[in-house]
Amino acid sequence: MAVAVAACAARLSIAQELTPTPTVTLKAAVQAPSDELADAPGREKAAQCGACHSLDYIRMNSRCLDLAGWTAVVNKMIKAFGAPIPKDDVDAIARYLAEQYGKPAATP
Amino acid sequence: MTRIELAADGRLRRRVIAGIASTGALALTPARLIAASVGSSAELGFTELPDGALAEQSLQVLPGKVPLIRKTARPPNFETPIEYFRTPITRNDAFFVRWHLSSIPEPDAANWVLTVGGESAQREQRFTLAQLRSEFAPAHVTAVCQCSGNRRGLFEPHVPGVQWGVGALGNAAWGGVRVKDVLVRAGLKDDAVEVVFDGADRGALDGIPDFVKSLPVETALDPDTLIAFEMNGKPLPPMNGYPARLVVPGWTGTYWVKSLVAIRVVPTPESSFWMGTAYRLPRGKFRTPSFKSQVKEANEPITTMVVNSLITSLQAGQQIQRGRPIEVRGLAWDGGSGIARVDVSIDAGATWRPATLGQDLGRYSFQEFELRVPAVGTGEHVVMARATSRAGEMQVERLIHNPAGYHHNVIQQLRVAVV
Repeated sequence: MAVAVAACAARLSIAQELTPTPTVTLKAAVQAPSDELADAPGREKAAQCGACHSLDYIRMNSRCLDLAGWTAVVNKMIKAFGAPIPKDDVDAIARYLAEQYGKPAATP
Repeated sequence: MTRIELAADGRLRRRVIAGIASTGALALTPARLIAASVGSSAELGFTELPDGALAEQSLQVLPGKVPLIRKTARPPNFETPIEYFRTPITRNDAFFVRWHLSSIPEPDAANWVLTVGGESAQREQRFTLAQLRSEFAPAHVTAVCQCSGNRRGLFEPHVPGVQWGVGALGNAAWGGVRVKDVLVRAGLKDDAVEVVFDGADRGALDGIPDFVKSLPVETALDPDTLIAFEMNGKPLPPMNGYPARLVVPGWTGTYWVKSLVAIRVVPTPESSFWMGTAYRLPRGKFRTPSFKSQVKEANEPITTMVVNSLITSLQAGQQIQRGRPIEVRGLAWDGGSGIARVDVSIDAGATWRPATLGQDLGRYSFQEFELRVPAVGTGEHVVMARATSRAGEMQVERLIHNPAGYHHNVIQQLRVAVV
C-alpha cells in the first residue's frame, strides 16, 4: 500500500515536472481561482490530469457524465492526446470522476 | 434567489441568497461566488449551461483583454460577454480567446518568419513580416470567426468538451496578404491537393498532437483567405495569434490557425489528429460544403458555419412597460452567402415579421437587424429571431445533435413580460 502511494506520488511529481512553465504573459494572468479536486479516494490519480490542462475542464463538465462517459473521456485523453496515464489507473480515475463530478444517481 | 457555488471541497452547493438586503453578506463572499451566474445562456433565451460550467466560470482578465468569461485557464478558453455583441464589429480587447494547446508562444514580430513549402510547392520560401507587407498587395476582409463548438454548452444531451455559451465568436476587419499570392510565389505543382497550416503553439507533453490544420487547395487559393496581421486596424492581440494568423472567411474558427509559422502544399490529405480525427461531423447531417480529400466513410470534417443569429437587446424575464414596443436587436451571420432576412416573432413563432437589416458589411460579416414590435396585451411574450441566408438556409427549431457538439443554431426563445 505504501509502495502504491509512493508510486502515485512519484508519478504526480513527474507529471508536475513535465508541466512546462507557460509563457511569461500567461503565467501572471491565467490562474483558475482554485485548481483543486474534491478530496476523496482517487484524487491523487486524477490529479495526473493537471499535467496537460487545468482542472476546470473537469468541473466544467461536471454533473453530466456517468461512469461510462468519464471512462470514455479518460481513454480519449490517453489514446488521442497521449496522456501518460497507466492503463491500470483508468478505472480508478473514471470512478473518482463519476463519483465526485458525475451525474447524480437517479432517485428511485 | 439562489446561486450555485463550488465549495472548497469541490462539490456543488446551491446557496440561498435572501435578496438585495443581504448585500452586506455578499461583500464577504469571494468574487467568484458573486460571478457564479456570469454567462448564463438561459438569461438569453437558450437552454442553460450545465451546473458545473456555470459554477466554474467567472470573469477574468487576460493580457490585452477586458474581463472575459473564463471557461478554462490552461489552455485558455475565454468567451465574450453578450454586451460586446451590441456593435457589429467586435472590439479587439473583447474578442474571444481559444487555444488547443497550453504552451502559447510569445513571439517577437521582428524575428518571426513564415516558411512556405511542401512536397507540392516548387520552391521553398521564407518571409519576415516586413517582407510580407512590402512584397505583396494588401488585402482585407471583414469576417466572423466562430469556434466550431460555440454553444456546445447548450446541447442536450450534454456533449463533453469546452462548454461554450454563445460568446465564442467575433467579427473583425482583418488585414494582411492573400495566401494565394504567397503560394503563387512558391509555385504550385499539379498534384497539390491540400495546404497545411502550422502554428507555433505546442502541447504540454510530447505525446500531445501538434495543432495543424489543412484546407482544400481551392479554399487556400480563394482571394479572401488571408495571412492576417491586423485586426480592426491594429496588430493582432497576443491572445488572438500575434503576429500572424490564418483567416478563412466562412469556415469555422478551427481553421484560422493562430501564431502561423509554416505553410506546406501537399499531394496527400493531412492525417494528423486535429484534421484526421478531430473536428468531424457524421456525414449527411448538415448541408455544408464537403472537404473532399478528407471525407471518410462515417464522417467528414466540419467546414463552413451554419446560419445563425443572436438577440442582444433583451434578457429573459425582462419587464417591458405596457404601451412601449418590444425592441428586438441583434446580429445574424452564416457561412458566406450573406444574410437575406431575419424574421422576428413575439408570439412564440405563431406569426413572423421581417426585421430591418442594418448596414451591409460584407457577406462574411455580422449583419445587424432590428425591429420594434408593439406588444399584444400584457403578460408573457416569447421573442424569437430567425435568420435566413441568401443561399436559402434557415435556422432550426430543433437541435441537430452531433457527437462533438458543433453547429448549434437553434432559434432563441426569449420570454419577456409586458407589465
